[in-house]
Amino acid sequence: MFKKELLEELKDAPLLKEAFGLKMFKVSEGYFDALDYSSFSSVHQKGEVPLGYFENLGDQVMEKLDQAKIRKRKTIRMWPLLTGAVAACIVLVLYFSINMDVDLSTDESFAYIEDNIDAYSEEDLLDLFEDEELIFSESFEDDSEIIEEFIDDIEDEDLQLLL
Amino acid sequence: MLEDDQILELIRVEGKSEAGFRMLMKKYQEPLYWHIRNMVLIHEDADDVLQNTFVKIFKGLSGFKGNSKLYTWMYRIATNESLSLITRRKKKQMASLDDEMMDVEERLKSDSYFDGNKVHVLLQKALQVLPEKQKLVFNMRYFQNMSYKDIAAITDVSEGGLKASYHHAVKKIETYVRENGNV
Repeated sequence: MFKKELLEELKDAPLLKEAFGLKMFKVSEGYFDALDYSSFSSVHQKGEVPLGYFENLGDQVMEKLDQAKIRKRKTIRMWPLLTGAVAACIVLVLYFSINMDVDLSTDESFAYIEDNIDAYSEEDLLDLFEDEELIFSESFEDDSEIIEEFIDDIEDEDLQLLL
Repeated sequence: MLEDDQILELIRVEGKSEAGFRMLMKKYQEPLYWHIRNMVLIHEDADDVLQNTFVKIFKGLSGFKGNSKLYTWMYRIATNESLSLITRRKKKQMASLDDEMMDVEERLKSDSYFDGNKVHVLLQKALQVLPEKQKLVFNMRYFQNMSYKDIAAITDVSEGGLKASYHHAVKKIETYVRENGNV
């Protein structure tokens, strides 16, 4: 029933309809059968993974978590330097925004849009809005956690460059 | 296999959190892997992103209040991590769209875990033409056969908006494949 709905959506796209459901990658026979993920049983398996990949994944992630804890302890020691660098950046941004008069007035902006709106098709405009950075809210994390994550994610050499 | 709520309870019991987390990984590692792989294409990248996703999930679980479904939240993290990798790569390369498409072709061909033919490569090249949001919706709908309801819960976009995005994506890819089908 659901597949029928999916195919119906492709009625004007015969090439995609023909390719629908074809496995883009192959999977060793019976490789995933031993693993149970009933909630996603409708998910297609496409692709090939190294033998034993999923068996070893748990250990690799645990090891990464341990490394992250060590990195976090190092990062805490760098906090004073980092806050100094952030403050310097804010001052620079303020300085340039005050001293560089490049803004269009509201009327000029509206006039520009009115003059040029017909140059874009409906699809171009849709794409324009869809090109916004796609980052979805992971909701419950408070700001301090987000900052910690951010700092954890910065490579040491990038941090040095920033400082 | 335990339900998500039961796994969460296990994770919150002192001394059993690792066992619970491993159970959670066992349950979701494959669907998340394929979701990520469809976005980043190459196994090594997918492996990296998947591990980072689970690290983030593990760190965030203590604050999970259950306002959304657990799998929705995990998909969001996986999606964000994948998009971050794609964005980082784009910024680093500063490549034109043509270069990007060539790059996808080369990367797929050199990936020892990719077993697709020319048509598969062409489809992946066509996907590079799409804005990220359309690409994401297309991947979730066309390759993973997810319902609009589930995609809406993950992306926070209305079902109507998703249908429009998917429709545009299908149209563009079909056109691209038709016009370049002689590869």
